[in-house]
Amino acid sequence: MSRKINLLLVENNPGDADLVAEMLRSNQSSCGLFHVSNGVEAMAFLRKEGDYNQSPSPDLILMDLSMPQMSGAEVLREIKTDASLRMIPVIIMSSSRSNHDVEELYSLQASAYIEKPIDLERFKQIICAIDAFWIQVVRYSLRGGNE
Amino acid sequence: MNPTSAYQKISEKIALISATMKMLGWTVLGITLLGALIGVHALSAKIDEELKLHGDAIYGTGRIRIFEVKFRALLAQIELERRDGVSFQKHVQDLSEAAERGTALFSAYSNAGIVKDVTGRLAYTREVITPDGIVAGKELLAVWFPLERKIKAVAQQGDKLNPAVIADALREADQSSLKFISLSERLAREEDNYHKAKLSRLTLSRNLLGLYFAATTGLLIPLVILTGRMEKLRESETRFRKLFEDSAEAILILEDGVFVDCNRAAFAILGVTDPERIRHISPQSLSPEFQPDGRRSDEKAAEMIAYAFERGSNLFEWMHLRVDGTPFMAEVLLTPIQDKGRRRLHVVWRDITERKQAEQVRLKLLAELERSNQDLEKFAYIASHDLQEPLRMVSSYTQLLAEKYRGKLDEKADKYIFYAVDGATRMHDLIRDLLAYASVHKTESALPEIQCSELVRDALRNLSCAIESSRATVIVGELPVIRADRILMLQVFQNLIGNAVKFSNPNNPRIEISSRKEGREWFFEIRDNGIGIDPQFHERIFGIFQRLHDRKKYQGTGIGLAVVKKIVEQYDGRIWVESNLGQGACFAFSFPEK
Repeated sequence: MSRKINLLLVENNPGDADLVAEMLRSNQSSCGLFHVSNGVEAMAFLRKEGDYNQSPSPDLILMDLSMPQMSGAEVLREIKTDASLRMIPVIIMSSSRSNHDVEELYSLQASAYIEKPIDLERFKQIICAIDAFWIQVVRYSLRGGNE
Repeated sequence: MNPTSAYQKISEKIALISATMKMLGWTVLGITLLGALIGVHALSAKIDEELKLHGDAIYGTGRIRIFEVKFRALLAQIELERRDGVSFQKHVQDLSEAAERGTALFSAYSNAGIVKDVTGRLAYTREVITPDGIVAGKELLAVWFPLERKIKAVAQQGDKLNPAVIADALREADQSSLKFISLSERLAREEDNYHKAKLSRLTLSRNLLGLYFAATTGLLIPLVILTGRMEKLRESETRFRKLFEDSAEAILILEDGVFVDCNRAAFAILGVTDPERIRHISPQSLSPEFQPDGRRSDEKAAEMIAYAFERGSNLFEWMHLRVDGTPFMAEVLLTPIQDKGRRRLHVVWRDITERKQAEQVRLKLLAELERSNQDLEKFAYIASHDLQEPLRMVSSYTQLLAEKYRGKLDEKADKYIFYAVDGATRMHDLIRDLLAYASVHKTESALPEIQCSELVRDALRNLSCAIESSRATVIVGELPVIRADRILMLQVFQNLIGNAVKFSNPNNPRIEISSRKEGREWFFEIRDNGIGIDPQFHERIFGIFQRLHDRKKYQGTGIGLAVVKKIVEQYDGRIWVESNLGQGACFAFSFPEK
């Protein structure tokens, strides 16, 4: 674990954003968490535009599907067609159970599709699992981060 | 006998016959007159004179051509035949055979002998006249009679021949069979007796090619043979004309690209009162410039006509114009008519404007229904998705609250939190099931064959936990192969078997799954020996979110049977339950044969 893994959370619902943050915190995750609340902000963050010119390059993106202006799928498409961003794994979180959504997002190169659970305990398990695998196990490109 | 009066008698007779034939709608093509013995020379001379005068001798109202008159020529003919060495018997035989084949154009009754008909074939009569006088050959009669199908004495001795009587007789006559109606009684052969034999007789001979019409009358025994060719055609033409005129369908005759005839229904459809307005005009001039498919009317019309000639008929839809210029949709049937080498078409129009309008309304309604169904699905999806978000917040944060502040609040607070979480969880389940119900629709694509036995096996595997804990015995009978969406049918079986397990008998639970075929349908049964259902609820249980039991006792939102019913009905099946409280239940549904 040579360096801190940066996680960009793209979540429109502040309640969910807080939950994710709360769960990561209670799991004592080592990641650096950054939060933007929609797709437009997410792209600005990733491209270090405007207020985000000092932002780090995230190693992993955790993104909600339903967002105003730019949906999660649109953001994902843009990330994956941008040569400088496409190597960043994107995990989609959604309350949609639609198989069509699942198929569409995987075909857009989502790294994982996770259904947001109604049960808090289950939510906690999921966040812990993400932390255990994506933060603790997975190795990322050395170009990532802001060091 | 005065030749002039004899001639007059013949003329009268011809007029009578002509009138009769006309009355029956026949065309008189020819008359052969065979003179009688008495005054035959004078008669011939008289007709010769007439022929010289007019070329065609006109008698009565019909147009009558005299083909052959000359008695002496006939006699000469006989002489000739004799000299040729061909036996008379042979001639008779030839003629009989020809008559049997229906090819003899001619037969005659006369005191004359062999005559030549218009086609040059020999005909014969019952009695043969030789230069030596009459030979009434008994042997000839023997040949003749087998050909006679019917002898009809139309009039009795002394009766006047009138057209109506003859017409009746003819109507009775069989149209198609070879028929000779000849004199049933011989006129007296001796010249002396002719005066006494005042018979009014009619001789009709028919064969397939035409009608030969002969009449004799008392004194003279003139024989008139009218050759009415193909009178059947004429008769059927009359009938056809009536059908044509009275038909409720618009019928028109198209010849060389223009209408030459049409019936009353065609006038009505076009809004024409003056028939002349559509005579000799083309179908294109009764059409808009372009057809609804965007093709030019003239080009397409030519194509349709060519196709009709090529294929023997052509049925298509066409936009026509009424004479006031308003368009109407017609279903057009073109059938070529073979008519003396002319390119004629029989055209039938059916006004399908109303049908078209109804079709359009139907299509519009269907489109609206489709749209509203899509809207509904979209709504269900959005509603469930968007409703779940705030619900998750309620649920998650109440739980978080409970976790963080456990013990810091009083017991009541814990209970309230439980209710809030439980309510949110239930609402979540309801939304999930509502979404499942809304998204039930069979795929339009070709349905795969599914082995119901495999489907049931999968359902049982999915339910294995519940089945094991209920310790139910499951018996699966023979199940067929059907065509349906696999996932939908799995839902059907899983829901029904799941219910059977859920509401099973605590002692010795037993579930049977079976099928049978009746007519073109399969009937499936899922039978249990469980708690049963009061008949008053048999309808209600298939409704959405209908439950009969306490949630604590039997879990579920009450959507299962509604989903099953919706799926079964999508495949044109029916579902029902047979049960009594405490006596188990049997859920049965029908499914069309694949």
